Amino acid sequence: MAAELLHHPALWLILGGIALGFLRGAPRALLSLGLPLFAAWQLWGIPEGLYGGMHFLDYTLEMLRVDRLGRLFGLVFLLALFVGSVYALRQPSRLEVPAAFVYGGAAVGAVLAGDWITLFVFWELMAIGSTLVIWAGGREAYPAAMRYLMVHLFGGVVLMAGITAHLAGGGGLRIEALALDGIAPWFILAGVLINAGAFPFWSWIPDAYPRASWSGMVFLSAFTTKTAVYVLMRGFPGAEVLIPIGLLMAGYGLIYALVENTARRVLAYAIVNQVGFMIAGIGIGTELALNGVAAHAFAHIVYKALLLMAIGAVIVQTGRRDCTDLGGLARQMPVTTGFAIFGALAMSAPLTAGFITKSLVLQAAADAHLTWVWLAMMVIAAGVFLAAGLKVVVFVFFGEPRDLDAEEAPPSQRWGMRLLALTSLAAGCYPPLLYDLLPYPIDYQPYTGSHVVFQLQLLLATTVVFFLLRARLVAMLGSLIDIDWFYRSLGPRWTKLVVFGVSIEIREVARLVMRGLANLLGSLRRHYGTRGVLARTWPSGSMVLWVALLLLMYLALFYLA
Amino acid sequence: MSLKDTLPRGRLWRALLLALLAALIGGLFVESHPHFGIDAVPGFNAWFPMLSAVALVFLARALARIFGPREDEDGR
Repeated sequence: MAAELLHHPALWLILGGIALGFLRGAPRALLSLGLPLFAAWQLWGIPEGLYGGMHFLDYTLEMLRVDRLGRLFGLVFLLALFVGSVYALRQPSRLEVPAAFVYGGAAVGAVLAGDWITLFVFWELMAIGSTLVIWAGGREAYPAAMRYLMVHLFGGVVLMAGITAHLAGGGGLRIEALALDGIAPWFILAGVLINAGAFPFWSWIPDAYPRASWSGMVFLSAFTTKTAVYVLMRGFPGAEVLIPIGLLMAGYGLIYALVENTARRVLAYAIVNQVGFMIAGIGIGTELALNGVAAHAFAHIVYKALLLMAIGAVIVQTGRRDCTDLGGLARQMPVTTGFAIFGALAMSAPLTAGFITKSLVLQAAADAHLTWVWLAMMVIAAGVFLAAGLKVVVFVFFGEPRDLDAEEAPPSQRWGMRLLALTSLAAGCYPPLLYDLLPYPIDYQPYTGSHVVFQLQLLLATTVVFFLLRARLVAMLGSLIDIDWFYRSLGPRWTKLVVFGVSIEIREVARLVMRGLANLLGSLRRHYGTRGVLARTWPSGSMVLWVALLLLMYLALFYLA
Repeated sequence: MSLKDTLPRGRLWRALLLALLAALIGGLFVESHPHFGIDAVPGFNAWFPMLSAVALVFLARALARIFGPREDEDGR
């Protein structure tokens, strides 16, 4: 058992992440670049199967399950970790990259987990690692990191409750598709959807991710939501309830991204949007749809990380984050601008990964004759290109110059972006590179005349609308009240009110106690004080009379008793 | 401000319109496989996303008036 687990990529990444915390300079750079490659080599070499039969309580845990789906997600995560490490080579934080390795390692462990208990352990480890990555963003990031941790610990509790109920009800330990016919699978579904950013827990993504450092959000964008997508693919393929849940997420992400002013928050809302698109695809549930979701998870990780890297480079150079404070950077940062444009196009343009993946899900909706779902997905495809692609690129890199003192991104950042652009281009130009890794056999030709022309129509028409309505988009830039308003504004207000009310009660009680004490002391003083009743000098006759009375009472009691 | 004032100008804009026109004409010559009927309407993949994008912008604008701006640290 132990020998098999030595090949577990998550083990190496987590231990390596801890080691990275003690290294500096070249050794740290070498380890951070070498570990993901080593882990990928390990994962590639493990034959499909179940490994690591470890006994825990009455259960035998299958800590490592290698199949096509798990291997694909694992390799994509390792790619994100490697490219993120390249990009973060100049990251001065001593916490962020080590935490990112623990986080990424846990994500790889989760997608390679064969049983629910192992999944839960890695799930919680992901929450801790990702919280540390956010926290590494600085003092300002700390409150958001804590809010993020609360949401994810709550999600973990809900997931654990579901797993416990599932096992107690005689359900299998192995992660397999569940029917939504009891309370246990609903709890598991809810726990996973919290991590996916579904309603009403979607605002943790735009709340927490943009507060990470310039490189931190690159790591964060890759793992948590995609691990949730993976678990939904495993546990709930074809669950129809996921279609409205996913489309609601997609619509929310679109609207909020259109209004949002802070560039990385726009991209955070776009994450919710695209994860919603994937969840709706899981709800469709056919082999083509699931292939499309797995492929699009890969494409989304690549193009979103590329856009985040470009914006991260801008943050490093200018220290500014809002679209209204940025503009005209194409002259100072032409290479970064080029990568940002490519990142926007990589969402769905021909010759990029987005084109060969998004069309799979759309085709699946069409094949299933889900008219409204297909139309909604068309709206999503156009809207996300408008909100997260054109808007971010044009407002940040073009438009009115702001006389910002900026230089081109350093080589490490450019290499990070270059690797992602090449990955998207390679998959887009030669689809079998990706299609051969998908979980189910696939017979789909993305490069037909109609696919290419119709996609170009969509992109060009959306671009025309963007330039036509650009002034209106600028006019409404800002931030909207979100679900997090309830626990960030309303909650604290009520808490203050309640605490204030309690404090009034406490003050009242304290006042009463003090008054009682004062009365007691006054009474004692009246009786025993220097001028009290018992301290006075009494006449001898009076004393004799009192003594005689006491003796009489004593005799009376003696004889009566 | 009239609509004419807000319209973009320049070579890039003309190139964009020409490219869209070329894509629309190209769409007439490729074999399509409509699934629902509505997607058989010529230029569907241009006008539907176009209308969708316009609707989304105006919907976002309306919601921005209801739910914005927020008055906490994110409401800048």
